Amino acid sequence: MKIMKLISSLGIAGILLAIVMIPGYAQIPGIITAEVDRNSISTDEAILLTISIDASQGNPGPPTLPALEGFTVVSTSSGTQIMLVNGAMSVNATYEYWLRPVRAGTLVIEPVSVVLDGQLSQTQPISIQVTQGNGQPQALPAPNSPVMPAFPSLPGFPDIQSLFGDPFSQGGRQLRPLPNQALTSGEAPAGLNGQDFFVSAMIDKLDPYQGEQVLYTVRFYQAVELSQDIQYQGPSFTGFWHELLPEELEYMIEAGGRPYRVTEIQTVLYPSINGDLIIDPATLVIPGDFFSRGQILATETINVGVQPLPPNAPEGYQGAVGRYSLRAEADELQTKVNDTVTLYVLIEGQGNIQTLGDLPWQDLPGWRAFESQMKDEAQFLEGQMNVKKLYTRVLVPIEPGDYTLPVIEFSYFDPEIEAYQTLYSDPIAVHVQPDPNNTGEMAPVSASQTATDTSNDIPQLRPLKSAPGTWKLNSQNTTDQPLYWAMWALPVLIVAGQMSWEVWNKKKKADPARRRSKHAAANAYRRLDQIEKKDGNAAAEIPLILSNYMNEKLNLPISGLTHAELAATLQDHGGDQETITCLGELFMLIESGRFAPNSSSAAGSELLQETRTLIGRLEKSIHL
Amino acid sequence: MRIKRILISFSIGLLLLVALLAIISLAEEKSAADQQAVHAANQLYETRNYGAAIMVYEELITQGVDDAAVFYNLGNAYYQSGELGRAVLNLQRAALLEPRDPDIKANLALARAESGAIGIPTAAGPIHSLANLTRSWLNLNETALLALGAWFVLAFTIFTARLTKRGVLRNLFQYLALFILLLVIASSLSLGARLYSDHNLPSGVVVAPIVTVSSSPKGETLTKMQLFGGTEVNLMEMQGDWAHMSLPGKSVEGWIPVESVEPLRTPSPGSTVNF
Repeated sequence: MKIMKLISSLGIAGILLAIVMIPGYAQIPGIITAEVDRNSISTDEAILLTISIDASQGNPGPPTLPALEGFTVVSTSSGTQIMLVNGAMSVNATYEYWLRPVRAGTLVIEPVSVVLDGQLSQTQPISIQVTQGNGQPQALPAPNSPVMPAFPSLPGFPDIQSLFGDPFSQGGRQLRPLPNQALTSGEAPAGLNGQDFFVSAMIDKLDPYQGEQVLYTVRFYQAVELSQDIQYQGPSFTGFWHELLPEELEYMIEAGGRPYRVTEIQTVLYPSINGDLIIDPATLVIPGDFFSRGQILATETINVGVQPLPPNAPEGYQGAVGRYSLRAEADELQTKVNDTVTLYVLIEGQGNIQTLGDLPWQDLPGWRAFESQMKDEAQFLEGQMNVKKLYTRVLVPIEPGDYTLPVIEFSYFDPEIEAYQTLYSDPIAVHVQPDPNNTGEMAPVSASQTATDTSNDIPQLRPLKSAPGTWKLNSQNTTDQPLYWAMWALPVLIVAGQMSWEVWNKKKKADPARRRSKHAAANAYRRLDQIEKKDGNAAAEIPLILSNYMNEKLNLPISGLTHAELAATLQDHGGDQETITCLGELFMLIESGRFAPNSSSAAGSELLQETRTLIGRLEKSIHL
Repeated sequence: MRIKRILISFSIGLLLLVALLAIISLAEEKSAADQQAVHAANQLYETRNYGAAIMVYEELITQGVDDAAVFYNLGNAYYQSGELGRAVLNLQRAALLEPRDPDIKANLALARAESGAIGIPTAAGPIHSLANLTRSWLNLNETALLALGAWFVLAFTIFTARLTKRGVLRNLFQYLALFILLLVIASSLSLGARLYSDHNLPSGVVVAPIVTVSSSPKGETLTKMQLFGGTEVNLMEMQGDWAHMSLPGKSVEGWIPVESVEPLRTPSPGSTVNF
C-alpha cells in the first residue's frame, strides 16, 4: 500500500514537474493554440504571445483577445503560412502580441477565443510570474517574422509565389517596434507623451515680409512601424506661393521612454499678400486594418502676420525679395558687323524664383536684339531656396564702331537689412569691325532701326561645309607629347654649344705660349717621324728638334745655353735629376754620332728612339 | 672664313626648321579626305534626312577623323533634328579645332541659346583673361607651336648674331632678337595661361534632353537639380554608370548617368572614355 502511495505520489510529482518544465504551453484540441515565449519575466521585459489558428477549413478572422489585465500591448503582427504536403494544403494564421507587464505578481492571460462555423474554440489561461524590475525598460527584440516555407516546384505550373505574391505582405497593417537606431538630441514637443503617433507643425518666422521665404515644417512622430504609407495632406496655404520640398528628413528621438522616428515634411512658403494669414492644419491619415481603426492626425492652425514691403521701392522693382547677385558677360568683345554676340546675365541668390521676371532690357543703337531666353534652377540648401536664373540675349551689330552694352539693373528687397537693393552689371565694351564681305545672311538695317525683333527673325543656321582636301586624324594636343617639351631644350643646347665654343676659342687665342707648350711634344714627334721616314741625319737634326721642343715647351730661348744652364732651367720647371742626366747622355751620344766617320742608320734609329723616350719623360715632368 | 660662318648658320637654321616641322607633323596626322562620304552626308542633310546624315558623319568620326568641318556639319545635323545637347557638343568640338571660323561661332551661339542650358563658360581672373586673348583665334596646338616656333627663331637669331662680325648687321640681329624675345615671352605666357585655363573649362556636355543630378552614384540618392541638354559641365570622375560632374565655377556638383553626358575631347578609335 505504501508502495502504491509512493508510486502515485511520484506520478503526480512527475506530471507537475512536466507541467513546470514545459513553459507556458497550453493547448486544447481544436483550431486555436496560444503560447508565450516564457512565463517568468520582470516588469522591465516583455513577452511574446503567439496565437496560431488552423485556417485550413476556413478563415475565422482574428482571434478575440481577453482583457489582458496587467499588460499593455506594445506591438502586434500577423502572418499566414500555407503548406502543400502530398497535395494537401494547410493554412495556418499566426498572430503575435508583444505584452509588457505593468505590475509585479502573478498575471493571467485569460483564454483567447475564435469562432469558426458557429463553433467556439478557445485556449487555456496562461499564468505569468512577474517580478519587479529596476525601472529601465529593455528594448524589444528584433521582430521575428514568421518564416515563409519554400513552395515545392510543381512541374508544368508557374511558381506559386509569383502568382500570389508574398502572403505576408497582404496582412494589413503590421505594427512592429522601431528598429534600434541612433537617437538624436531632438527636442520632443510638448504634446508628445507616449502616443504611438503624433504630429506637429511650425514655421520659422511668424512675421515675414511679403515675398520673404518662410519654412513650414510638419513633424510626424511614430513609435511603431507601419507597413503602409501614411497619407499627408498639406494645408491649402491661402495667400502664399508654396512649394513642397521633395526630400523628407528622418531622425530618431526619445520621448516618454519610447524611441520615436521623426519624419519632417517641409514646404517653402512665400507670402503673396500682406496682413494676417492663417495656415490651416495639415493632416496625416494612418490607414487602419483589422487590428485597429485608422487614425487621422492634424496639426495646429498657425497664424502669420505678413508685413507689407516698404513704400520706397526703386523704379523697375518687380517684387523680388531675398538676397541676390548679378553678373553679365558677353561671349565676344570684338566682333564684326552681322556676327552674333551673346549676352549672358546671371542672377543668383536666395529667394522666390517665380518673382524673377524678364529683365528691363534697353535698346542699343546700332544693334539688333532678339528676344531673351531664360533658364532657371532652384535648389534647397541649408534652409534656403538657392536660385539661379540665366538670361541669354543674342545681339547683332549692324554698324561698326565701339559700343558699351547697356548696364543691366536689378532691384530686390533684402528682408535681413529691411531695405531695397539695386544691382548693376559691369559695362561691357564691344568693338565692332566692318564686315569685309558684307554678305551676311541678315541684311543690315539702318542705325535707327533698333526695335526688338520677333522670333521670326531668329538667326539662321549657317550652311554646311564641304570636305577639306585633307583632314586631321586623331589629333592629340601637342602639349600632351613629351617630345614637344623636349624640343624646347634644343635651341638652348645649340646656343649654349656655340657660346662654349667661342669661349674656348677666345681662351686659346689669348695665351699662345700655353698653346705652343701644349703642342710642343706633338711637333717634336712629327719631325722625328719625318727624319725616320727620309732616313735623314738624325745626329744633326735631333739637337735642333730638342731645342725647338724646349723653346716651345718652356717658352724660353734655349739656344746658346750651356749644359749646366740648361739643367738648371729644367730643374726650375720641375725636371727631375734622372731626366736631366738622360738629356746629358743623349747630347753626348749625338755629339759622338755627329763626329763618327761612318754612322749607321741603326745608330740613327736608336738615337731617334732615345729622343722620343726623353721627350716623353720631359712631358711628364716639366711644365711651363 | 665668312663662307664657313654662313654655312654653319644655315645648317643650324635648317636643323631647327626640320625639328619644328617634325613637331607639327606629330601634332597633326593628316590623310586625304573622303570627299565622297562628306558629299553624300551633305546631300542627305540638304534633303532633310538628318538621321542618315548624322550616321555618316558619326561613322567618319568613329574612324578617327578629327576635323572641324565634320564636327560642324554633324552639329548642324543634330541641331536640325532637335538634339540640341549633341548639337552644342559637336559645334563646341569644331570650335576647339577652328576657333577663328565665324560659321562655327555663329552656329554654336545659336545652339547654346536654343538649348537654354545654364552655365557661363567664360571664367574670370587675370590668367583666364590672358588665355582668352588668343582663345578666339588660335587653338591650343597653334598656341603651343607659336610659342615653340618663336623660341626656335630666337635661338637662330642669337646664333646668327654671335657668328656675325661686329657692325650694322650684328646690331640688326640683336634688335631682331630683342623683338623676338618679347614675342617668346608673350606666346609662352599665353600658352601657360591656356593650359591652366583649359583645365577649368567645361570638359563635357550634357547630351540627354534633361538629366537629373543626384547627390550620390549609389541607391540612396537625393535629387539636387536638373540640367538641360547642351549644358557644359566639368567631368571629374566615373564610377560604374555614373559620372561625377560640376558646373563651371565648381559651385554645384553631383552625379549624372554616364550615357547622359559626353566628353568634349573625342576618344581615339577603340579606346575607352576617360575623364
